[in-house]
Formats: sequence, structure tokens, C-alpha cells
Amino acid sequence: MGRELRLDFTYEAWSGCRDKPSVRLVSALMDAGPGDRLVIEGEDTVMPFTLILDTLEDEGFEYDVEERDDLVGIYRIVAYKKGS
Amino acid sequence: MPLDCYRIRRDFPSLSNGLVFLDNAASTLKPRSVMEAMQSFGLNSYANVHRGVYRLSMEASKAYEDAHEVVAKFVGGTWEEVVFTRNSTESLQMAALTLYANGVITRGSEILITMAEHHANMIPWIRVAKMAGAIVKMLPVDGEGVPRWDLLDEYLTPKTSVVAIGHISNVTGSKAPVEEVAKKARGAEALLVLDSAQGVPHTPVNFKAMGVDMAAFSGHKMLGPTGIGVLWIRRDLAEELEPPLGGGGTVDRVRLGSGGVEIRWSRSPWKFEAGTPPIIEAVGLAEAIRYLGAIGMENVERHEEKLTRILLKRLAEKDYIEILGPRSPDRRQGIVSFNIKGMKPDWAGLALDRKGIAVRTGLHCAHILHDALGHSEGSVRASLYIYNCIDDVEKLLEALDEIHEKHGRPR
Repeated sequence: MGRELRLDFTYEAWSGCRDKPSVRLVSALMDAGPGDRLVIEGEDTVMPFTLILDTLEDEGFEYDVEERDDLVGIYRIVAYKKGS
Repeated sequence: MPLDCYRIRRDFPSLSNGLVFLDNAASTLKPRSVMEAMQSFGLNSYANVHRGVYRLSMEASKAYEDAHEVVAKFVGGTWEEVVFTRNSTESLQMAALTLYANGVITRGSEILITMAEHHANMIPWIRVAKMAGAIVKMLPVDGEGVPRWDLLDEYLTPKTSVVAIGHISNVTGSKAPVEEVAKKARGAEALLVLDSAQGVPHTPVNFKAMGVDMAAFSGHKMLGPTGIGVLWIRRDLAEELEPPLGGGGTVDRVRLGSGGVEIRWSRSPWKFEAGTPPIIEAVGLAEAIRYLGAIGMENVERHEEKLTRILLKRLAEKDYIEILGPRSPDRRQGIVSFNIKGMKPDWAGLALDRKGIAVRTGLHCAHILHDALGHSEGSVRASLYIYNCIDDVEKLLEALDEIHEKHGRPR
């Protein structure tokens, strides 16, 4: 049984100039091991949905989009490393 | 002879996987020769310097002193003027603290900086001004983020004690008219401190000829290792000033006298280098300078100018790109910051990374400049160096089109 890693890409979660959503995303993907479950929730204005999906695919992750509202621009994605 | 970027690339193993590295203003990659020189010195010749009488220590001291000489020649000075620090930021803190500790910056005196400064050349002056009760004045920038040098006469007053400016902007790449500023600063009897973190690595310099009094730059931005920077201090000033930090290596003699502890400072640069200095790093920096010297800094400058010109022109043709800084390539050196309309710089950076292109995104430690330019969320910065060739520029431009097509939309 792996860990559950959570990524919060909401407006409130980001403030400092050194804390970049892209860095948090890539770090989490690098950190995730077999069996880990990555729950990504957020808003397009902080980190776009399509960019997250592209990145997950590039990094060899499978994912389920549990929630997506194109109009409001919010999402909830659950990702797993392929082969785990 | 023009610089052969394709041949140079072979000296940088980090590029062997096809990486397009355009984050050179943050830090450059290291050539094999620099790492080998450091490894060889560390394994075979390392000991503390200026302390032992044994052969190994003397060899290490010689290598360390030689490194001062190599750096001095590179910037048109003498070894006594070259103080090794940790990086440009520390050099500028040391400059500010030295001038405060020696009574150059006093209550009511004025320090003139610009709105375009990197925080490294802003925060130290603001802090020292607070300590001294001095005032920091900021030269405003124009619509392209270039300091209003035409207002210099208005901003310089009889109270100005220090003028501290960036040589080349780390955001816009704009070049400061250093000689002209130096002349006016001298006329106002103010010292000129130059943040040359983006200058020395990219363009030939001779600080003395430029009229500079103190200058800062970093080893890691010019092929050298991290952990070493330089504070260059004009020789007569270096001899006259007391250091802000004391400790081992800074003194000739300390003794108890009738009035308390008496300190006789060493000569420059040793009095400014408190504690065990960055010895292996100094050897690495000297090797990096030999590498650049073999290419020739005029060639480095010309190569970057050529690529900058192409990059700027091609970016300007794209209606989805907003360029920060001067539109004219003649006013820039090696750095082009921009934004993709509808995309935050952070997203663009991630998307470029997916395509094997490394750029810097964010505010680049220049918040006030970004605010002034109306890009408060930052920018994407492509910064060029000797191992970048035209194909790197082409790959960036192609990638930007693809990213805009897929992800760009109004924010």
C-alpha cells in the first residue's frame, strides 16, 4: 500500500515568488513511487488542467479525472505511476 | 575568429542529451576542464592557505594567490583588488557594510540605485541605509524597464555618497552606460559600486578604465563553481578601508595593549577574506577564466549579441509574445525576458521543460522592475551563453508556437 500525496493548486495555496506550482508538480511526480496515489485538486488560474494532464502523460502516470468543470475551471485528478 | 558553439558544447557533458539550456543568467553549466581542475587540486594539492609552513599548504597558498592574479587580469586590475566572497550577493553586502563601517554612508547621506536592480543590489543598500539613517533614492525606469539615465543629474546631489547600479539587467539585458555614470558620480564625489553579475561573464571589462570604485560578480555565472564570488575594490580604496568582518586571516597581529585589544589589519585582499576562504572554488574559477580567456571575451560578447538579435527579432514577430525590455538588440546583452499572452510564466516554464528547454521563470529577484513593467506575475527569461547555438534559438521558437497553440488563452 503506497502513500497518498496531495497537491493543492488553489489560489490560496500560492503566494511566495519562490513557491511555483510547476515546481511542486514536478517534485511530486519525481517523489511518487510505485503504489503511491497522487490527488491533484485545483484551479486553472493556478495550474491549467491540460498542462497537468500533459505532464502526467510525459512522466508515465495513469490518471482518472474525478472532477472537471470547464466553465469554473476547477478539477480533481487522481494519478498513479504506470506499472504500479 | 568567431566562437564555435558546436565545438564548445562538447566540453559540457550536461548538454550531451540534447538539453537546450537557456538559464545562464541564473547559473552556467560547467566545462569538463573546470571540474577536473578542482578535482585534481582537491585530491592532490589541497590544504588550508596562508597558515602552514609545510609544502602542501604552500602549494595551496600559491594556487589560491594565483587565482587572485588570474581574476585581476581578467577585469583589468591587480590581485590586491580582488576579494573572494561567496557570490555577487555577498560581495554587494560586503561593499555596503564596508562603506557603512568606514563612515562613507552616514546619517542623511544618499545612496542612489535604480528601480531595475536585482535584489542583491537593492536590499543591502536599503538595510545599510536603515542602520546609518541614510536615504536610498531610486532612479525610475522608462516603459522598457531601462533606468532613466537622463535623470541622473537630478538625482545626484551633494549628499550622494554611493551610486550602486547593475551593469547588465538580469531581466531586460539592458546595458548601463557605466563610464558616463562613473563620470557623473565622481563629479558628485560619490563612489560607484557596480553589480556586474551579468556583466563580467558576458562582456570584456576593465573596471579601472570604466571608472568603477567597487564591483561584484559571481564565479558560477561564468563557468566556475558555486561558492565563490568577487568583490573588486579599487586599490587605493582597498588599502584605506577597514573590513566589515574580522577573524582569522584578516589580521597581521592582535595584542593586548593599554587601551584594550589592538588590531593591525592585513593588507588587501586578505583583510577582507575572513576565515578559511573558498580555496578549491578559487582554483575552479581561475580555470573557468582561462577557458573564457582562450575563447576571448570579445568573441563571447559578439556571439551572444548575434543570437540575441535573432531571438528578439523572431519573438517580436509573434503576436502572442510580450517582450520585456528594449526592443532594440543594440541596447541588450544576452538576455530576453518575455511572456506568452494568456499563460503564466510558471506554466510556460513547465511546458518548455517538457520539450527539453530550460529557462528561468518568475520575478528573477527584481520585483519592483516587474511591477513597473506591468508584469507582476513575472516573466519567462531566456539567457544565452557560449554553448548556445542558433539551433537552440530555433527550438525555443518552435516550442513556443506549440505551447501557445495548445495552452495559450486569455488569463
